[in-house]
Amino acid sequence: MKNTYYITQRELYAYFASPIAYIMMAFFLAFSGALFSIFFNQSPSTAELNTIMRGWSGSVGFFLLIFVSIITIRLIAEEQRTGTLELLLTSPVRDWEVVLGKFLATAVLLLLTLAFTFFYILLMVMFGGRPDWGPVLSGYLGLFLVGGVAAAFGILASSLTQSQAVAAVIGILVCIVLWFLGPLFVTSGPTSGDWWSVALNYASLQSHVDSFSRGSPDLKDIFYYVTLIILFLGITVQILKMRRGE
Amino acid sequence: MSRSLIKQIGRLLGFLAAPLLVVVIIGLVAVRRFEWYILLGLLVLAICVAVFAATNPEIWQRRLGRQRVSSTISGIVVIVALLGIIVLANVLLQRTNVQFDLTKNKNFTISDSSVKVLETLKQPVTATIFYSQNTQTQQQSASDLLKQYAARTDKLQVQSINAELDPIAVQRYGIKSDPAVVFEMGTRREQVSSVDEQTLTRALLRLETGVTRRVLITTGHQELSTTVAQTGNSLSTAVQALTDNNFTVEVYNTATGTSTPATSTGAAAPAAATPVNLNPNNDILLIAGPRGKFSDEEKTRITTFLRQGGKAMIAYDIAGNQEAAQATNVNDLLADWKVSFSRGVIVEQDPTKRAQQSPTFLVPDITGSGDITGGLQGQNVFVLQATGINKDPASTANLNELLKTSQNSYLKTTIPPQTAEFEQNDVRGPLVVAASIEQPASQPAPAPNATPATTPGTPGATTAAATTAAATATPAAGGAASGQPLNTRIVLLGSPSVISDQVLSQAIGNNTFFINAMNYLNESANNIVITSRTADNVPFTVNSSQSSLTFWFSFLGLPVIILLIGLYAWWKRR
Repeated sequence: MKNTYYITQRELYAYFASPIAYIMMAFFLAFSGALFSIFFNQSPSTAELNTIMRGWSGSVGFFLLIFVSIITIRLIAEEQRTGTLELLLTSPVRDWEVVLGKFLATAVLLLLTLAFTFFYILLMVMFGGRPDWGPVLSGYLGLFLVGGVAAAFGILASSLTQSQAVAAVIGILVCIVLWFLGPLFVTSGPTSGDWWSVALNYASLQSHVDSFSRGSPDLKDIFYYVTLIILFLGITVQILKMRRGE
Repeated sequence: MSRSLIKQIGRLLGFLAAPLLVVVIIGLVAVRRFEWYILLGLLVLAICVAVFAATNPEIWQRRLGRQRVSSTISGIVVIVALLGIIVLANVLLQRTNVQFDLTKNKNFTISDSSVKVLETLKQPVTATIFYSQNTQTQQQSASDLLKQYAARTDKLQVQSINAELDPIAVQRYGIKSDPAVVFEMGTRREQVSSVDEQTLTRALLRLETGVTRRVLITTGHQELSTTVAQTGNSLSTAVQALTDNNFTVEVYNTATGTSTPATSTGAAAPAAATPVNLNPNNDILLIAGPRGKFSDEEKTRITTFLRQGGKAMIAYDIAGNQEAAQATNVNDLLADWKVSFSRGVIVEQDPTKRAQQSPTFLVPDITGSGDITGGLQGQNVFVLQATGINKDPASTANLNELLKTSQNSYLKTTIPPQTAEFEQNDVRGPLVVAASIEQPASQPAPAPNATPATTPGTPGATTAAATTAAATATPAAGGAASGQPLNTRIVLLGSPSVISDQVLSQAIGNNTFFINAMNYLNESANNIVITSRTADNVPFTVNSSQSSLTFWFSFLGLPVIILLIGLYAWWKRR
């Protein structure tokens, strides 16, 4: 785990040393803020903190996917392009430690970005709002898990190619498809229809967000996100192993 | 753990995978379905193969020759195994229903009352949710709730039907609303249009007991009409709420002893009036603000019903009974229980206990924590132009005060009041504006089969259900036939405005109060009173400057701060 810690530290330093993390965070927060304003101004004269946060956390996940996909594209692709990946893989570090370290660095950046959105709650508390913390924090957990899936897939996409542009296209496209999988193909409702529509709806990232944002996370939804993260990270590890010819 | 030990465990698991594969195949052939144990077997199999492949790569390499090719195949095998494990684990987890309700008021946890009803189910029940594109959210809520129900019993199965895609099913079930939930137990059916816990649980209980309660709204004394009135002085919202909660609602002419079905739209039902024998086991009388006098025959009919353990909600309309000589004699109906409505108008001087700055628009204190007011915490019940309720000290009836004015209120006994100020004959508050009384029946109820339970279909209940309910009007609801004596229960309201369209259509508190009161009168529902668990939402007012401040700070302010931090970091690095 020590190696993982060092890699996490190194990647975090790399994130904050380059302007791209700040720019992307600013972009994400601008979109997120606009979305928050829409939910805040939905009712003309009164507002309710938990209703606003439920609406916001149920919708901002899509922007989070794009944001995380972009910040993760460089993680392995750049190392491949510059040749430092060979160095890293031949050093006494296990493949999974490399992948986990990079994932954790992204997770920390994701947490930091989400922490900035607590500003919205602060603002509403100043206006007289009273939060029910359970649903608020559960909404954040959902967003963190959605971001985690995007980060894991972003790292996987990054490991597939040397080109950051190609990795970005793969990462963003797949995340968008995963997000809209249910609504795109399933029109007859979540619990009816054929087995494939049920399966597609279940596979959709979006269909698991609501239980978090309403404050009643389902074990199935938590498990879905966690297993998806494990799957993508596991595939990345195997790809690195295959590349090394192990 | 040493590397060689891990390798040996991997080989052992690989060795176990072969017989396990055979067992799973035999099981699959035998049951021909992906039962949970087959899926579990497949999951264990996939884990065995994955661990074997991951811990013993040299076996693949040896068999496949070139290292590069073998490592690729080995990697693919591990990826496929990992994918299989994850898919199977997700499929298996679908059988569980573990939710973490993090809301303060536990809005997503079913109540003990519902659990109790579910545990009493003796036969399999199918719950079918009908919905359309527009009601997918309600469908989701109903589905979530019913899945929680299903987790508590193996007797309940839940399914959903898109009404737009399956009109034949809609016709077959006689669906009248969108969304609708139909419970089926054998040939019996119950249909509801609300998807909250109380409605669903009550429907299940009715299905189990086979009883539908009937509310008879009296007419003939200028009571509030079930037809929508422009002034809001009507009962259409109350009728809708009752039908939504599976009561059969009829308009009852106390003079002729006949009734006609009531609808919330007020559209007169073309059906002819049918004779009604008041049945204490099944009927609830609703006397909403009469302005005329009841004849002796009517009084006898109603008081006999109440003495036998009948149930009633009686509201006094002081605004419509200002002339003492012409005023209604509704107090005569209450003589047995020694309670009465006062002759006077309540004036509230506490500004926090009145609405719209009017001293006769009351927002009384909600007292007690019983069946009726228990779920009303944090809500307001509005009462307009009310009078007080008195209990004679000699009364032996159990009176529960439900709504009470402040100490700064008083009853103006001069009608109409000449001044809002307190006068010598006025009565000082606090005054009771709503109460319930309960007393054991003083006369035996007629045998259930002596009264034909004329229970026609309602918009909320299928004909099949109503017919069956009538045929099997079992005693579980009416205590008399089950050996328990009935209790007379009467809810008294100091003003009919509490349940009028004017207030009921807008005030959630009044709605909850009304339905709770009707549930209380529906004695069979005693065990399934589910306190309404509303989200702990405290709205705050937003003015235009706060609105624009929010937009600029969240849309621009926060991103600019991040960019400035980034600029500072970049400058420092330089």
